[in-house]
Amino acid sequence: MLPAGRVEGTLLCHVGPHRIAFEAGEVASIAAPDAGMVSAHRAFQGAGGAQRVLVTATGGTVGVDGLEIDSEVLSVLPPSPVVAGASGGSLRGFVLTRGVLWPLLRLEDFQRYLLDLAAEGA
Amino acid sequence: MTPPPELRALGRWTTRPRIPGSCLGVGVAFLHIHLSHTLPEAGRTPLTGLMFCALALFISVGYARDTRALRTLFALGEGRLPVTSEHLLVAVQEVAAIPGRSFWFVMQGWLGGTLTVALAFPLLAHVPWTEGVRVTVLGLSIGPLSAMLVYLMVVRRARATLERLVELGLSPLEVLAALPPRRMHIRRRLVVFTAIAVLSPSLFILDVAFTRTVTVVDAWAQATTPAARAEVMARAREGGGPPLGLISGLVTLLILGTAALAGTALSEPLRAITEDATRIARGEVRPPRVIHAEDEVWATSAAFTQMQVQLVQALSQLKRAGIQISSTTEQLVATSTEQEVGADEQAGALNATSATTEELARSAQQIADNAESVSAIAETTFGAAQSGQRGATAFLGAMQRMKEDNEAIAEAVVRLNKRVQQIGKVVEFINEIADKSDLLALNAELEGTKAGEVGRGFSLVAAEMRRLAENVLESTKEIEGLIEEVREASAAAVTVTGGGVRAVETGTGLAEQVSESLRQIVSLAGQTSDAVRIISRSTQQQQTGTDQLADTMADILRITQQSLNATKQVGAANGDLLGLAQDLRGVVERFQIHQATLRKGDGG
Repeated sequence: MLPAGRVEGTLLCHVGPHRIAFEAGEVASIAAPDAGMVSAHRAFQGAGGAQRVLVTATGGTVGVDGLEIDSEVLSVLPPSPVVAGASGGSLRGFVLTRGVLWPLLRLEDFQRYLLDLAAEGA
Repeated sequence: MTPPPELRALGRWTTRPRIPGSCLGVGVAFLHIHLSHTLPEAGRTPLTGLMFCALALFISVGYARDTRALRTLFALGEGRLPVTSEHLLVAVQEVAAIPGRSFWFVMQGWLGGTLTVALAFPLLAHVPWTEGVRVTVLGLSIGPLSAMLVYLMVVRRARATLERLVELGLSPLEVLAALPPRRMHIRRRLVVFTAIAVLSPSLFILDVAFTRTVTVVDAWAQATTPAARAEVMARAREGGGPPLGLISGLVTLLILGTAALAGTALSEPLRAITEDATRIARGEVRPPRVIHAEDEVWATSAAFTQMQVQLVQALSQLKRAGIQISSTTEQLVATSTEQEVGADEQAGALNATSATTEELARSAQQIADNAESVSAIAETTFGAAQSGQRGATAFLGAMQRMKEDNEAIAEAVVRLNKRVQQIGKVVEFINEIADKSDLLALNAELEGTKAGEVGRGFSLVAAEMRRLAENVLESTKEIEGLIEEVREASAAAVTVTGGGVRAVETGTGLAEQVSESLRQIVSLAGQTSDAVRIISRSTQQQQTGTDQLADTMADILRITQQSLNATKQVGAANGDLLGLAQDLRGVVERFQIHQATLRKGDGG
């Protein structure tokens, strides 16, 4: 078991020009896009489809444009409370890999956050 | 002679001399009876009475005869007939015949009266019948003389009457036609007149001489003594009683008077003819008049009148002709002058025309040369056109083949497009497989990652598989791009091929048009070549004709020059003719023709 500030195995996802990352253990599987998915573009005030869908353990889905799997152990930089609050509580921190900083999100929270945004938009 | 009265009394006036002529004869007889003592004294008074009764009867019958013989003239005078040419001509014929009728009527009167008196005289006077014979001889000796006297007196009046009738509206030719000169009795009349002139006094002298002889012989026979017989002879020698030549002298005077009348009757028309002829000889031509006469003199007068009429007509025509000739000749001179000027101008124009014709001949030569060149060019053009037509036909065949090739290319491109579409489907299928492989590789790598250190190798394999899948996807994307390019290229090829087919079709149409045009060009070039050949031949003929024209123009010029000379000669001749016409006009104008004469001459 890794300490809280460290994570092993991350999914580095691309949503348009934006980058987000998820811990691999939170992703039950990766599926092809379908009609019931929630696109991560909504979190960035955008619209668009997805190329891959991350399926949570509870069956929730989040669509992203592309993803990579990084199996290294990465240090998680904690976010400020304001930033964590602004992300709906799904932001765990930031990981530095491949020369850039990736926001690490909790998949379940992020999926709910996207659903809430969808409900607000409706 | 008194002038003739109006038409109303003209008939009686014409025949009136018969009364004094007859009375003169009766008077001579009366004097003979009472002065010559040739008849018994007891019978003289009854004989005188008989004679005057016969004279009265003769005058009465004469009135009736005149009325009948001159009935048309009397009718005209009394207004019972209109004064027309026909009636006037009939009256003229009646008047012309009246002298002869009067002569014979007087003769008949004397014969009838003498016989009647000779028969009645012995019965009334109780004298021997031989006295009646003597009365008959006496009457027959005075009667012809009296008739002759009456004839001559009536003749003169008849002439005056005829002249008056002619003045009423008859032309000389009408009178001549109505009174054709047929009788030629002047010699016979002279013989008869001579016989009467000789016999009448002779008979009177014979009667007186016979009577005296008988008286002397009777007295001598009755004398019984020589003294008585000597006394008878002495009385006979003394010539007692009426003079022997008294009556004969009276008769001779009567004959002389008659002869004077005859001479006057004969000379009057001759004098009138002479006057007219003299006037005509002086050049004074008056309207022709009818100079009335008898027998040969009438024939002469008629011929003279006809001659005058013909002369007037001839002079009128001659005058008109002279004027016309003069006018025409003047016009002829003017025309000749104009013609001469025209001939000069014509000669000048012909000179210019001749020069132009020669220039034309030279131009025709050049045209002929050019026509030959054009003919050669036309032949070359015809050959080029035929070559062009063959090339166009070959080009049309090539275009046809190109069209077929283009259609084949279009079909091949369509087939290629279909194949590309099939390839696209295959690539899509591969892409799906690659995508699923990528997804499986992702999940495998995810699971390997989740497994930690244990699954690291699995993750590596999965990652490698994922890269392969991604490579496949990239390759399929490239293939899709290539397929898309191929599709676009094939679509463009189809479009281009369609445009090429249409262009080839257009080109084929144009080639067909070009071929048709070239065929027409060949045909026209052939026609042009033929036409140019004909033109060349015609031009050569034209050149020949132009040469002949130039020669002909030279001939015409020469003839025109001759014509000009002839025109000048004609002008000179016209001048001479004008002089002659003026001379003729002068000659004709010497005859002073009155306007009335001219009008009568024009009217025939």
